[in-house]
Amino acid sequence: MKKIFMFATLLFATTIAFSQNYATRTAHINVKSANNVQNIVADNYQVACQLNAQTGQFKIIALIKSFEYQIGAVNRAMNTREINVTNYPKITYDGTVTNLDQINFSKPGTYPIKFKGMLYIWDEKRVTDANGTLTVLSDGTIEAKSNFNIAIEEVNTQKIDKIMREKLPVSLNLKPNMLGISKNIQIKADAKLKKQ
Amino acid sequence: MNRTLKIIIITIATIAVLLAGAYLYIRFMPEKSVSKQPTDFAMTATALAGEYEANTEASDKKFIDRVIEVSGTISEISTDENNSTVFILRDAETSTGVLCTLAGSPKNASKYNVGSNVKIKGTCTGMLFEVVLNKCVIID
Repeated sequence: MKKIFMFATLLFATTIAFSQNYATRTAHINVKSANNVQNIVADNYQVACQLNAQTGQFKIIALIKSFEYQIGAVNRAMNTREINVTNYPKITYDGTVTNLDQINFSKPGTYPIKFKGMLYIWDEKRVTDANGTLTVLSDGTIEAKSNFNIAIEEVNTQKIDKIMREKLPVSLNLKPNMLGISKNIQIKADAKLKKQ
Repeated sequence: MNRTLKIIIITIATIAVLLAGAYLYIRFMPEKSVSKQPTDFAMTATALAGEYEANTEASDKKFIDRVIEVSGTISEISTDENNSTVFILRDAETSTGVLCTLAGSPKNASKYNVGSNVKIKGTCTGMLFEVVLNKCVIID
């Protein structure tokens, strides 16, 4: 009985020691889309991010309704109950770190990082590669930063433009291409992940 | 300066002011503060998290974009990348909780510690690791 208890304790301690899961609930995503008048820029600070340092599996989940738009009118238009996102409330990136062998999670420093995975946004899914940097800090936390571009389908830009047209005041007589979004979207992501 | 020139200048100036006004209106249109919006649901953090755990899709339909007042015990306090204070309300015996990001930098946030009981009002945006409330204000 004593041996079994000691074995179980050792197994538990080993599991904890080699636990290589990092996570945060408060990563940041910045999204920018150009148009004819002024860029649409939005930030989301309620982003979940998980990284398994052993397998390289990496996941980012952002809630669509947590985006805060820098243009007040867009913010008000997008955060109304009429904009129903319950069919697709999240944007998810499910990927893998492809250069895991070049990163030493036990040695503080900044390393280049490469991801390959699937981005799920509304009813679209597409393979998305990204590069960035990963900094291992002396306290064991890691900081990941990445900038990448995605191109979304025309049909989805039209959906968002339609929403903008319906929600902005008619008196402003704005055309959708003046404040709507374009097919090309720039994304910046940064996250401080703690070992779990 | 003849009369025609004056009319042209005044017209151009009026158009410029109107365009500038329209731009400022669009750019800085303020959002309604959560504190001024009526509460749609008032419940404990455990009850809200429990509903989400039982049926996430139905809960999304019921709670997203709704103003919810939750009460519970603070299990974690942190600061996000925007320097906003984040409380996680979770009871000791439950695995899921409610993440509340406070709007702005309220002075009264610093008086709360892990283990404090708090009542918070915010807009539900869905569920990640926890149920997420945004633009929260502290009620009590």
